[in-house]
Amino acid sequence: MVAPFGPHRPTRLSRRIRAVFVEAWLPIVLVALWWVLSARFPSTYSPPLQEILRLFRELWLFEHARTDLLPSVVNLVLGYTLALAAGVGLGTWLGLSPRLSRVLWPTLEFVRAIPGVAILPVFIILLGVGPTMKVTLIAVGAFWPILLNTIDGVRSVEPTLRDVAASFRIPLKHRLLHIVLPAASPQIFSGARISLSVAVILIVVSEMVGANGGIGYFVRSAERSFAIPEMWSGIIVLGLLGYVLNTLFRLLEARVLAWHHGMTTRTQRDGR
Amino acid sequence: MTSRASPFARAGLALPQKPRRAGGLRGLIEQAGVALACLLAWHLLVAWQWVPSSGVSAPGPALARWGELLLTSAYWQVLGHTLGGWFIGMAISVLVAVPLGVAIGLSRFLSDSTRFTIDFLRTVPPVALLPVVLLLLGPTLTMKVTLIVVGTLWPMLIQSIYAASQIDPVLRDAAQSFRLSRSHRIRFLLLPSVAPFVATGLRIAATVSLLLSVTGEYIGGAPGLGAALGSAELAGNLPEMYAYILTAATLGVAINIGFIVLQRQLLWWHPSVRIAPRG
Amino acid sequence: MNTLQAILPTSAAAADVVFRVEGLMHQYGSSADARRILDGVEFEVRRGAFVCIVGPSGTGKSTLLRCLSGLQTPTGGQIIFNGARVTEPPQGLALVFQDYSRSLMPWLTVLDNVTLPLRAGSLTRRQRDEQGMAALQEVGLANAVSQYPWQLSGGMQQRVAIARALAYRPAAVLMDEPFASVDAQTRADLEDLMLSVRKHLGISVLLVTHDIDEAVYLSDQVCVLSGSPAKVAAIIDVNLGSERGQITTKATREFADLRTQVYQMIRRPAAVKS
Repeated sequence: MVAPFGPHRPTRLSRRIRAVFVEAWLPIVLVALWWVLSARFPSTYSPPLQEILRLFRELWLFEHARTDLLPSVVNLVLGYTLALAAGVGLGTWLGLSPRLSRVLWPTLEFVRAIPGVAILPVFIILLGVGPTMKVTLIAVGAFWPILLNTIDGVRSVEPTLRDVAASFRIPLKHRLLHIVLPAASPQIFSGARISLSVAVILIVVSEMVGANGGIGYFVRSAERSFAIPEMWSGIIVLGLLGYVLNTLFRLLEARVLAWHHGMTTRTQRDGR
Repeated sequence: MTSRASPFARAGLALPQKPRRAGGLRGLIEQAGVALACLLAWHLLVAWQWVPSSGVSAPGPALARWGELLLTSAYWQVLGHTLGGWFIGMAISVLVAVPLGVAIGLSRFLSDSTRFTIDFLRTVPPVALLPVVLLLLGPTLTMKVTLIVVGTLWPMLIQSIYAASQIDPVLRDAAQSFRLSRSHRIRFLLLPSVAPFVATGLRIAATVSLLLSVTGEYIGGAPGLGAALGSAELAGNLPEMYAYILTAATLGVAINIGFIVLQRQLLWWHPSVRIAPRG
Repeated sequence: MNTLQAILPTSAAAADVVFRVEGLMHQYGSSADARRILDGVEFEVRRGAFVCIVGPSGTGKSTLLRCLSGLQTPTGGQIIFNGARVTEPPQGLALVFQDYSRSLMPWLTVLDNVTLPLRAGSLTRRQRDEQGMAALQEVGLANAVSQYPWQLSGGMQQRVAIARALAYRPAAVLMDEPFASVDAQTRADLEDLMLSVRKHLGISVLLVTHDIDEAVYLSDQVCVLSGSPAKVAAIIDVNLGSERGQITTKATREFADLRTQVYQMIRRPAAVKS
């Protein structure tokens, strides 16, 4: 579905074909290069692309996708959703309480700076290596960017809009739903995107360290047992996972923030 | 009074605005109070066994151990390793990404050609490549640097491309009408226009770099904070483990603040630094 | 009968004064450093009147407006709106801000923007939309209903803001230099719009401006703010009749005289302090 305020699309067929070509030639060339070079000069660590793709088809369509990829994705989504809900909820509340957020800010910034990887050992000790640990780790790690960005977004709602809400005596529920959250949404989405990549990193890392299945575990154990082509197939899966998640995110964002894109393009076009 | 919100705020360029301190000293005390309250809560959680003491160290011992470590040269060496990898990785990223990105951004054809490739590659989590890099390079500095470059190249590239596309058309017209030479245009138009975007990209890359450095050390075993954390974990030395966690957090905060300050100093002339984006 | 006109709230206690300002004072800060902005501002707005508050920039017009609208509590004096003391934004008062681009929600269509303040009431969706449409018709934007504010020109955006105020069916509309950010052509159009709206609907309008011509052209009474801290230097009745035109009215002798009068009042040195 195309965002209603997106850039003008080429209407003539030839222009469309040309556009597709321009965007497609480089990736195609790169893959072809990889194929040819890896076939010509195979090495232990860089097996022929052909073999990798063969294994990819064998393993990941759809057997291992079910046993390894699916659990990872499920845990990822669970953890991320928790982080999102908590982050937006708490962030909105704190954003609306300037005094409280000001006082809490340094502590929040400090805790946010703790790298997820550093607390992974703690989580393992406390919760083992099962799905609980993974979901919790992701929820805790992905929580911070959303929280801080939501606070920032809510705090920076245009003061004039706040005056509008006050002068027209708009009640809190409507203020939140129709003014505060929409105004903060670009910032919230920005935080949500960062959180998404944090979540992906954490699921992979937590699985690499544990021994409880998942795509990260697959890649790591393939590496350990020198099953190189299998390892590469897993890496491709991870790449695809990242890409798909990102694309979904971007589509959602384009939809929800269509007004924002339209508005900023207009501003840029018209100059200051 | 301008009739539009600062375009820099919307472009996501504006420096994060820390909440202004009300009544300076009092605000500071309140913030410190919150930090202390958190420490206290931490202490109580452990003391009352609400959190298993097999996994969580009490703040007292952790801070004490941190204090001890600060006096050892081993600690600073470890820090040096982490920061070394961080710095080299970032430097390579910047030196490659900025010129490349700007060049791509200035050419419609190049931006269109590379869009999909960059889009795809930037979504590959660098940790996915950790096993490969580990195999190829072992637990070394090179391995860490490679990981960092892989992780930070794409965001910096994207920021630089974006920066090149955002050059104020009015400025560009002015440069053209004054018939500035190419080198002058680069120096007086291109670089200053691109600088704030690059600076923001740097700030974000800095945090990611640290994370990747620590990850590479923890999982890969290269010398540094992550490795020290790992060995403390293996030895079951909880206070030391937590001392390193606190170190990592402090480092992260320091880097972030450092970059904000640097950005303010170097880009003092730029509206995104001069003008507060919100009223 | 115009759907907007039918239901103007009237308060039994208020008779025919919609705004009464008594001894209004405001200062920033306390103790010795206090900056006094307003010092004993007093005036009255009769129901159905169009009153302009005029004064040079920096005199505290904005502060006065914020106090009148209940967005700010003055440090002294009181404001009575519709018979009740103003302590917070009162019921029945609609504001139009100077910066239209910031006062409209970019994520809502024009119609949704206009009907937003009505959501809190007991109207159904259909009724709200009808009221909003009527307001938009009044300001001449019936065709822009499903567009977004940022797709419209500056003048049109301000019209939307005015429509929002009208749809609210207020007892009075408070306007803060509403035409300062548009070009002269558009300003003339918007001024005439306000005159026709007032004529059509009979609402009371209190408009703050620094433009003397505008103040005289639009109002029944001009309230001149002058000095620092600001006081009401004069309240000048404008008898230019109810039919006004940009060219005809502004060419008359009376207009020129009133203009001069206002200008002189503003320029008088602060010796007006009593």
